Amino acid sequence: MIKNGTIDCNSTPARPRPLSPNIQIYRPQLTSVLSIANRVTGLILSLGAVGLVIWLSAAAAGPRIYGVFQSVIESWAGQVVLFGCTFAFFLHLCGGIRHLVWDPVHGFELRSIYILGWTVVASSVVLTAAAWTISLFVAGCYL
Amino acid sequence: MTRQSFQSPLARALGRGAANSGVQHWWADRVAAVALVPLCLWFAASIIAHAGSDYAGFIAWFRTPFATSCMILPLIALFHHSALGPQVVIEDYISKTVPNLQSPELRREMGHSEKNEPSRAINGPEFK
Repeated sequence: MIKNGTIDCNSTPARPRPLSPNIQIYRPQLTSVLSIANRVTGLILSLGAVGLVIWLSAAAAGPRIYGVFQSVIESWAGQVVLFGCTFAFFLHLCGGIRHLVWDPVHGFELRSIYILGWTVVASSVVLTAAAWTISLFVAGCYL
Repeated sequence: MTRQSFQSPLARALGRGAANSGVQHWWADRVAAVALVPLCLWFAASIIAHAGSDYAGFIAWFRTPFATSCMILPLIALFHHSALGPQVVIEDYISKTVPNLQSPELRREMGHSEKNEPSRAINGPEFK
């Protein structure tokens, strides 16, 4: 497309060229799934940060508004969202630590990549389960 | 010794190429991440310790100087990290469809004068 004598490189061609990554033609692997999961959980936690601000604002606003927030969190849907956020938090935390291990070029052998990957999966599941079990115990749900 | 620019003439004319700002972004992301590891673990542990407590119990803990300071620090790191991280995701998947606002011809069209145009920042240093 020519506009004002300059070439517009952003116009869409008649047949768009294939773009990488072609994730739909690959079988999911631990490496790719964890990479995507790290990004998705990062985006989820960015939204969760808004919830964190709402929680702190509710606490600052006083007991009445905090009570409303607490009843939303303690509802069935609120608990599901909170559980999802907890798992996203631990998966992103463990995945992030794996990235920090990679940054100084450690653990790039295929074997270590899979060992670290499964460690991330297992530890985030265990940490989520532990966090909820201890929370319910502290809250007195088992007494 | 003479070093040639690695950019093609077309890339130079369009003002594309290295953004010359990636390292700072990468480091800021990592520094925030390293800070967030202990701060988030503290936050998670504190929330677990106060599970089921009411407003009064929560506020009594939150008012202590240590808890307040320790809450401000992860918020700073968290919002910095959650600004830098999604930016990468957006750039990777969305920016291909947006016009390059730094390209010289677009800046000319938008009325930027040649004098203020940081052409070196766009095209990178010329090695001669």
